[in-house]
Amino acid sequence: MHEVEPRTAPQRPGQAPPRLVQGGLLQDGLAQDRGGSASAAGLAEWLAGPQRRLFRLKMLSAVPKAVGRFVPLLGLLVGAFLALGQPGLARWLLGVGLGLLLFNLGVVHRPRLTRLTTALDLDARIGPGSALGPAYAFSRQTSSELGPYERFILETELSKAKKVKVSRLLPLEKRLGPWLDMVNLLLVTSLFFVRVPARTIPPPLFEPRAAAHVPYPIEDLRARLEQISPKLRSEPATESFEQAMTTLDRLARGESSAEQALLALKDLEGTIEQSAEQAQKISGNLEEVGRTLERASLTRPLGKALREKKLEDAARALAELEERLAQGTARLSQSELEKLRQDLTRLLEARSESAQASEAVQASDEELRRSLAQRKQTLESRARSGALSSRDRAEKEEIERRLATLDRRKRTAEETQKVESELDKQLREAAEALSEQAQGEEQAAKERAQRYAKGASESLRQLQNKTLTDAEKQALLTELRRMKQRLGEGGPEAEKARAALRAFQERAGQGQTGASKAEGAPGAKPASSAGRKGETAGQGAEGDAAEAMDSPGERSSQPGGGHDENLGQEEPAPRMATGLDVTAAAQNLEGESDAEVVERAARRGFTSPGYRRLYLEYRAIDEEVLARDQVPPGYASRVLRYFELIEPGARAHGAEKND
Amino acid sequence: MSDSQQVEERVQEFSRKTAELKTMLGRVVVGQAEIIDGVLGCLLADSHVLLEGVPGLGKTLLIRTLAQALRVPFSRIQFTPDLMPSDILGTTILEEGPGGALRSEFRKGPIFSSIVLADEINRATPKTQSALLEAMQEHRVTMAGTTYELGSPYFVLATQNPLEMEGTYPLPEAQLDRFLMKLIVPFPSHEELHEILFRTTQNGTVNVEPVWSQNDVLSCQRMVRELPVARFVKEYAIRLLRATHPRLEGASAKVRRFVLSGASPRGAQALVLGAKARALLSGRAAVSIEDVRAVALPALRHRILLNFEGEAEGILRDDLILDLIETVAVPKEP
Repeated sequence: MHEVEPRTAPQRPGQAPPRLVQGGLLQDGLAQDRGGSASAAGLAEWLAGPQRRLFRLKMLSAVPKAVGRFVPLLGLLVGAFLALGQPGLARWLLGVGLGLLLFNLGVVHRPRLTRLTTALDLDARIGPGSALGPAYAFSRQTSSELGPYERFILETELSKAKKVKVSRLLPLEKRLGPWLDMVNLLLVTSLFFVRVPARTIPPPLFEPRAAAHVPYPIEDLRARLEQISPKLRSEPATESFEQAMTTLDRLARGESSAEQALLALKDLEGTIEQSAEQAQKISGNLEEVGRTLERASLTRPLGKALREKKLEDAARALAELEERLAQGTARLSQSELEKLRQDLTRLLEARSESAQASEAVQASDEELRRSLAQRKQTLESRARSGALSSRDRAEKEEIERRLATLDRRKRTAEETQKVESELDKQLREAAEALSEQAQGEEQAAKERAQRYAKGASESLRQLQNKTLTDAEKQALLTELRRMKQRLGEGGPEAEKARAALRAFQERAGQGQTGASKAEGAPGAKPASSAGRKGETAGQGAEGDAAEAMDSPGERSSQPGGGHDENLGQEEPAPRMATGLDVTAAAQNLEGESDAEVVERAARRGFTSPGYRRLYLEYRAIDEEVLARDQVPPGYASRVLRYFELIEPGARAHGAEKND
Repeated sequence: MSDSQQVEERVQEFSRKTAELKTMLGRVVVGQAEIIDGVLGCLLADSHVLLEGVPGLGKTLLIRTLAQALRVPFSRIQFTPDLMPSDILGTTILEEGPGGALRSEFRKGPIFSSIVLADEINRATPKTQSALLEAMQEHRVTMAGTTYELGSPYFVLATQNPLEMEGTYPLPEAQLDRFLMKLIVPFPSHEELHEILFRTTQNGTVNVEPVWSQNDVLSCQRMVRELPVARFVKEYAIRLLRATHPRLEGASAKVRRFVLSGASPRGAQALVLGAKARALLSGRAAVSIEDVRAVALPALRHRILLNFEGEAEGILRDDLILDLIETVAVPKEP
């Protein structure tokens, strides 16, 4: 039986190692502690240096991880903002990005390097045989806890460590890599200092801050309106003018608001545009007559003057014709007479069709008037019963305004019709005179021709006095828009208008961000332009946008040329009609849809009667919407500008201007 | 002579002696350096080793050569299904005494040796296999109420064939746990096969001379036990061990999914002892984390029990352990 041999108890810290078997392979009996603590302190001290060095290197190595995909993305965004002319946003983004980068580098990817991890890192780099990690662990024990093996390890590792060159442990490319990343980072950062030429913003016509100190520019507006008045020849225009003057007076007395004054000016603007349109229509008719008369040698000077819209020359030519007819020197061959008569007859037939189209438009207006009147009556009865809400009241006022507009339009159309019927009558007489002459009734023809010439001469004189030329119309409209702009931006109502603008932007889906919302780009340089200097720093973007559209001379005559780039960044969301529903019925005599009419106009020119009618319908809707909603002046003028650009014949007009 | 010098001398002596032993083994065994290191590690850690490999790889040869080189009692037990526990442990027989009186006497079985080769251990029945349990753990045998010490050193080397599963009895977990390491014997390389053919197909024998005495083995085993291990190294071994448990913090997703049960605390002992032996065999007195990592596979692979899903998916325990080696964090403080 074997005896149970007591097994050696495990060694405890601080306890001397157990004695080995005598006569065995190894001798035991190690001496006591001699200088172990000195080695421990020495190793810990030595590790401090590599720890700092390794920390720096690991920090640099962490740069690519921290940078990762972050910096290219940041660079791309900053570059994009710079390219878009938004250096302020680019700086802001760069600042935030660099902050995040430093956070990423300093907190997220910061190497957690202790002395032990430093020692283990060095062990891994030095290779098998290195035991700096265990040696450091033993160095943390107290002197009494250190056994002979621990002291041996400490001393051995310390002596080996002193021969180690930490700087050579890292390959060169690994040390260079982080520096290259840093250079890349610096390059990206240098974008911060790239100066992109600031976009030239047209100087504001009205300095908003200056305007804020002027209560209302009423005297100035009145003076401008007075200058306009002589050019207003039609009765509706004069009526609108007087209404605008009255509203301004009331505004000066504090009995009316700037909004009402704006509406009055807008009405006047609409009336002028309508008058000008009617005048253009008459002018078109005269042009056709002139073209017909130009074919006969006797009436050629008259026809030419009419075609070229030179009414004074036409009156003069008519007087000469009358004189020649009286003297009997005016003679035409039979064939010429017959041809002229046939042309005039055909012209009369064509004009009859045109008159029918005008009547259809008037019928449509009449229908609208009836529906509005009906609604007005309902509201009035509600008012009598005391159940009229504030919304109903606003609707009633709106209906009254629209009815007044329709009245003026009707009167303008009637005036035009009167002139046109006079023209038709004279044409008819001319055709009959020619017919009589062809049949040999020379005396009767001569008398009739004299009558025709006299009547026509008188009509032309009247027409010349009543109608607006294109240049006059443009001048009037420009002046009116300036007045509206000034009224909308100046005075204590400015803040209200800006609030309305903000509300409008929100409703229109422009969002809360973007350049058009910004209260001026921070750090923007004062912009200067020829002849006028305007400080743009801190200026509201809405002012810029409105100005870009309304300042004369800056406006493009081409369709779309006057759009503000700032507002092209985000397409406004489609809006649903609120309040009164506005319908645009497809009514045209050719039996075409509205889209077909526009398409045909795009191919054959924007002067067809169908397109004119469609334009009028859309314009009426536009006016109603603008009047109903609180659209800020800058946007309202933009819409008006758009309609101005697509008005019949506008393209040709624009081309002439460019030429 | 200072402490350090003495330790240095002892470490150098240890290295010299192990090198001598390896050289002697190398005379007979071709290649298998890792297996030799593993077997020596287990011997020096005063524990046991399980060798797994197909027949003909030299497992038995290695063990027999080791026993010859150590000059210690050696016995070989061929495990078969009809092997009885008494065939291993020994039996009590009746003997006639000098006066003609009968007395019972215990005849020691082959387990009473310093080095025991349990060949094809999985061919014996569980009852016979379990006869080894006490001997392996306690280094003693109890028969009929009497305890017999097995002496020191006591080293069991078991082999098993992974291919022939018919008629075998897989070792129970408790028995597997008693082996410090499970070494997978690799197939020899092309060059090694040439060498094997050269040595075994010609006339001539190789004499194996004993290079270590029993005391040398014991002193080396003590030295392994003496070797200090830094706390952070032990901490790493513990983290590694805990990571094998699917229900403990730190287990990887794979472990949670495929492992039924992780390694027992004997696994941590195996990691540290194996790491110590490896450090000394490498001529170092300092045990590093790399040593723990190096012995993690043989020390843990037989202690992890896969669940049904793991078995069905064909998950390899070695892959799981390699994953853990990659993912378990090294302590940052000593």
